[in-house]
Amino acid sequence: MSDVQSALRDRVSTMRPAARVEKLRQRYTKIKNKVVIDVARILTRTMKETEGEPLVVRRAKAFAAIVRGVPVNIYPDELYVGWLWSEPRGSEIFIKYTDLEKELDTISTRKYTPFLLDDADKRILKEEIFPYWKKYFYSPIIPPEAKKMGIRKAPITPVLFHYVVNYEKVLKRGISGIKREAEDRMARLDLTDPDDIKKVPFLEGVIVALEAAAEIGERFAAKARELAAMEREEKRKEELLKIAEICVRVPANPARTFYEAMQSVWFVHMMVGWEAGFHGGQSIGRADQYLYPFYERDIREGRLTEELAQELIDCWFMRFSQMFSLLPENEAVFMSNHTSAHHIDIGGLKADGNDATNALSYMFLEAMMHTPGMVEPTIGLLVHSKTPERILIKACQLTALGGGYPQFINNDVLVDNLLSRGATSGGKPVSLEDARTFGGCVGCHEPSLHTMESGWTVGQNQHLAALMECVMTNGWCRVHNTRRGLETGDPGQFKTFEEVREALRKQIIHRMKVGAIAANLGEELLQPTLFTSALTEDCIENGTPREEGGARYSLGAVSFDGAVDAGNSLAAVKKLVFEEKKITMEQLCTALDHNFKGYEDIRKLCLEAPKFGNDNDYVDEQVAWITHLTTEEAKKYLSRYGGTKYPIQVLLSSFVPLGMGVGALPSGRLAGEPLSDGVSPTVGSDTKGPTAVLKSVGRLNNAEVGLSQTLNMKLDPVIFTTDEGFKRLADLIRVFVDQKVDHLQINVVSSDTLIAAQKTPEHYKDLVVKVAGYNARFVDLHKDLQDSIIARTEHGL
Amino acid sequence: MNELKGLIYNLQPFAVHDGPGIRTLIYMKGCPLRCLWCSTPQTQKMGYEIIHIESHCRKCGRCAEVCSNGAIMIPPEGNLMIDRKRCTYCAKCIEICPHQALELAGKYMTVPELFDEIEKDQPFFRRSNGGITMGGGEATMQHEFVAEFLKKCKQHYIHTAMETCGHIAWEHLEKLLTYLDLIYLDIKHMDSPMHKTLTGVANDFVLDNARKVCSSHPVIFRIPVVPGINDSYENISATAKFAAAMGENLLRIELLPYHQFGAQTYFRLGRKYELSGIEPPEDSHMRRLKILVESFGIKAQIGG
Repeated sequence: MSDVQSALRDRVSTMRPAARVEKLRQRYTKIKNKVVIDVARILTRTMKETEGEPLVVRRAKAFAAIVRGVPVNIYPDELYVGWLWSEPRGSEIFIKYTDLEKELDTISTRKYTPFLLDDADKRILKEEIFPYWKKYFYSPIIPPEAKKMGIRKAPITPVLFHYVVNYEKVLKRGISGIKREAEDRMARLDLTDPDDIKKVPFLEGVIVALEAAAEIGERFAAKARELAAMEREEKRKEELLKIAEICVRVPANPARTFYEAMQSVWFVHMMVGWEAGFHGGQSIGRADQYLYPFYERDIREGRLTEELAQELIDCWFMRFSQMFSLLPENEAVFMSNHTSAHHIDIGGLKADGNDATNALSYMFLEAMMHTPGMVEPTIGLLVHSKTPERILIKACQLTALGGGYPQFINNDVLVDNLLSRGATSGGKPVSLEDARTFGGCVGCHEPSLHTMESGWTVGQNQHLAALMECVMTNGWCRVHNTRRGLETGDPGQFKTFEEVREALRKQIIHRMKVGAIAANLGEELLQPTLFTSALTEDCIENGTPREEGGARYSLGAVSFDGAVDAGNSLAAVKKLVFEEKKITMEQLCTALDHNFKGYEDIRKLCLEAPKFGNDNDYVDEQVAWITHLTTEEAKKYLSRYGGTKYPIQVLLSSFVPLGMGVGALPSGRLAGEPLSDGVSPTVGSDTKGPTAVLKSVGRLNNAEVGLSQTLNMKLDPVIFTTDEGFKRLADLIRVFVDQKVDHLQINVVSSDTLIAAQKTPEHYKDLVVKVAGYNARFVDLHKDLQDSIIARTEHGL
Repeated sequence: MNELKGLIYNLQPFAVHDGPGIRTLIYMKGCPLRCLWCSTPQTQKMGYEIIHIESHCRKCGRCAEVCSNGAIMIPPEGNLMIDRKRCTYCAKCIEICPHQALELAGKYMTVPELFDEIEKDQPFFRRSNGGITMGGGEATMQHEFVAEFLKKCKQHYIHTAMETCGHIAWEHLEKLLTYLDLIYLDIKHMDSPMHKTLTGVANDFVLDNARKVCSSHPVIFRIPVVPGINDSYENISATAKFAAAMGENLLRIELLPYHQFGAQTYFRLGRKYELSGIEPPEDSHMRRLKILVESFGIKAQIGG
């Protein structure tokens, strides 16, 4: 954190972080990442031992063995117990990442995010774990029709991600209470009904899983007592005894205090991760809502002070940041922080449509201010037209600190999105009250009905930019020199712009079908969950795991990218070839075939054509058309666990590697250059600043894109010269709500970033700064001017 | 039909330092002053200018080939040279340049065209109590156009502000005031001969207009604080004393620390930057000047 940022933090933060918080924060930043295989080892062994039993029973036994078998460690100074992967900065090997098998020897020495790996563990991975799971790497059968469509292998995704389980129910009834519910359901089965007979193994599995889950607290309580007996320092001894007292109680029983509730949620979150074998998008949900009654009662009855509550929240928050997903090297290159996206929503609506912000909403933002350098939790503010100014300003103050949080989630669009699902997904209609109360985000920022939705897998990505390339090549991929899309005709023969659009339409329709098939094949070996299903409404009542459609709401996902690049390309073709007739289709295709080399004049025309993100209808309507078409196509296909598929354009950092496989485009983008990041304008093409970007994105029908599209924005800190800056940003967010944009994440550029941009300008082409009278790409400026702007950033001017 | 047109350099949406709320700043071309520290020299001339962006230029020579006036030379060493006296601003070089290294500064727009552009930002004005700010250059140099444009803004309930150097005939300024909600007026130096040395004109118009404007409109004085040029306690005191006599309409003095962000633009215009040796003022000095201004009973602020 720079001096300016520290000074700003002192100005906007309402409370000093407790000494423990800073101590732990310092400690966590120094721990090295490590591969931990406890969960994978126990899971694999149990699966081998239970060969021949029903799959739900085997998974239940495996889960129980994990809960009873993972190491129980308690670390100094910590107020909570249990780490997802045994220790802070531990990471599990996830069997989905087949490439990791080949990288075990280099994983601890690789350049990008290395992970320590014990030799003994490495041997177990090589000899026991990977060989067993090999059959789950790729779909075993590819039907001939799928092969004809170009599907050669379909990677299996064994578990669903992206969901929020019913934490509130655990807090109110305890795991034991939910186990009684399952037992009761079992007792109510009508065994004369063949359908009910099918429910028996699942409900049995649920009971086995919940029985084990209820014991987790006692394991840690025993450890805490053991440590307390040896502890010499009186204060820590007391803390350990307090931990023991809490763990005896939760998660088996209902929580009584705020502290118990926080530990209980943490236990559940941990166990959800254990059952999946990986953490990716399993989220916490609207924690300020379901934790508030505990906080309020403790404060009212004098058991808790605001200071202590803040310390508890700060420490809780930092735990989410200590689990990085272990990715294969080819992905790690582009994602230095493999965050698991533990999404927490704050603010939002109550069932009656009024604002739900409470004291905890503020304290959660404060916790983010207290824990700089921690990349989790992925905190989002649910903003709507009634959001109070005070929480919005606090959120903007956090934004100004530069960590990229909170995300701004448009609650009004979210409600529209969820309400439309019943009508379009073939599932149950969502009530207005449910949309308001359970509407939130999961993972990065994907809209979800918390506690009652199945979760989904991302599957394979559909590259719309590559499809635009296919339009210009009659189905060919220039980079890999292979067939990639449909043969939609010789582009040189297209006589009208409508023919070009029609070709793209056909490519998209075809590709979405391929995507749907690939997703279905990839989900064929989806493993059922017991613990997670038990905490997802209405799996117990339906006697069915969520992977088989037991959840109240289910949906699948089809991921896509490059809508902006494709739209920019359509606009360029329309303008240059068919309206201004400056070039012919043949000339354009030839220029693209040569990656514009020797055709710089044509590229210049292409670059000067209208670009998305500048509040220009001409091009915005092309992007809107593509997005709508993609959405409609996705919703034509069912997912295997219920409901239709929904589109998602959330790319994390993969818009960079994905771009490497796409040749030159009519937008003027060169072969191999990055694609647009979700619905953010293509790098360097938005020259009018944030207001124009919001207008452009607002023109899309954002509520229909079921699983959302990322909008990332970089902001010059020059706006925070005075405290008025917070207000202006808040006003900008109000317009974001008005314009029906669904998601916005703002990165305030720091001087560190600018200095990095001087060193590697090729990675920072999207940094736009205000100069004198104009906005400029930072990397285009002269070194002296760059230095002046760095100085401006450092001085907070 | 001879429709009224204005010559505009640029529009900057999301301007946050030139008036309340979120604003769109309109940089008009043309200025009667030639301040040594000017950060937007591309707006000074009442006419087109060619800007050469050296970092984009590959010196391929296409611009020189296409120039029918022989105004562009590509020396083997160093930068492209433009003979700006020969240039007729036909813009052929800009069209041909494949690297986007040449730009034309200046665009003629009608009042409806300009209004259509700024109207796009209405959602932001509405939420932030923002609006438009006329800047430049010196907007009053195109007072007929600006008056029409501001009138249209007021008809649509848009908040209007203007930055002015104050060097303009009163009747022209007075006409614009009818449609303005807020005025930023630069007081660059209290000593008239010194003002002339630094800006090319004396300050009598400026001070006289300042008094008149303050009698009817909310005004903010701005002092570009340039070390060694106008940042002496004596000059700042004199300005604050002058301001103290303006009455309640004078809202505050903004002390704008000198910066060099415009220096590169001189180079891109083929001009020399006269102040190259001067560094931005120290933060501590700015704080002292702020206290000094406040000692006259005037509100002061560092930066816009």
